[in-house]
Amino acid sequence: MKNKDKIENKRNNLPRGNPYEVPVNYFESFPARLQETIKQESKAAESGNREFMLKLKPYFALAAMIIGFTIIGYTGFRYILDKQTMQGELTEEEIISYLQSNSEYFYDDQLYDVDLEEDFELLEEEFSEEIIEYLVDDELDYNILVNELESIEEDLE
Amino acid sequence: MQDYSDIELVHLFKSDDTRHLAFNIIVQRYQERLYWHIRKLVIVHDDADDILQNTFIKVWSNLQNFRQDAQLFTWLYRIATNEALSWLNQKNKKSLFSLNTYEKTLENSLESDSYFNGDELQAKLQRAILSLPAKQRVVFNMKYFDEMKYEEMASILDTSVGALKASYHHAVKKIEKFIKNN
Repeated sequence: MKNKDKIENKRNNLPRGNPYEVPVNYFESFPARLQETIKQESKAAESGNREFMLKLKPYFALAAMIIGFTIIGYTGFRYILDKQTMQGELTEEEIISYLQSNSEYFYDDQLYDVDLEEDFELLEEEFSEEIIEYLVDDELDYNILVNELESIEEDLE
Repeated sequence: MQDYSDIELVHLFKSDDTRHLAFNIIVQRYQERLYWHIRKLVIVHDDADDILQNTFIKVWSNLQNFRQDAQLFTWLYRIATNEALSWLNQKNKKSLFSLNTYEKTLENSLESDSYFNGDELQAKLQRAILSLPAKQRVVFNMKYFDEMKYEEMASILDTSVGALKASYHHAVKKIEKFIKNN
């Protein structure tokens, strides 16, 4: 409370009137001036927008041109690329006619031989070294193995 | 015509047919209070006039979206305060490389202003107020000259009542000290 009173006392010692003035009829004329300013601002904003769009017009044209060229270029490139790919590929009909015309050079025996040779090569790669090592390490006699096999066959019969 | 309440005026403004009428009434109703609020902050009449116009141009542009969660007068006062403070900031930025702040320049030219008619004590008080930081000046003016309630000030300045009381108390002390020393 003391503080509040102090502030009040200080306030009472200070002048409280308004020392400022305004030009004659300032407040009477202000609304009309304001309306005028708002009108001008709206016009300026509208024309500003129009001017802005006019300024942008050549950039829009340039952008449209670039987009147009890009589309044309891309389409052309794809067309050429597709054409080259088509030329490089064989049609189904071409493959069939080729096989029919060259089938006389293939025989069944040749095909079987190819299969057997492939199997043998695989077996040789995988097991030959292991079998040889086994036989050498255990010093097995080949005759014994043959005899054993023969006796097994007899038993089975 | 002038008897419309603020709420009614806001409704009228939102209708195309009555927008100009409502705006005109709002301007006539609040122009003086807002002008003096601005004038006491920026001192020079022409500057106060420009800021008042800018304030009402903002009101014209934004009143359409005004949600009535605050009073119209509080909203107008807030716009005027912000306009004046940002105008002072701009002035101070421009005078960054000069020896004096903008407020110091105003202090020196106060009595030569043709629209100042105060006596010596009033001029001293105005110089003392100008020595305060801008926001504290706003608080002092609103309380001292406009005799606003702290609660009303708090809603305009978007701050607490306690902070405003402390700010006003410090402002009075500084002004007292300034007057004693000058």
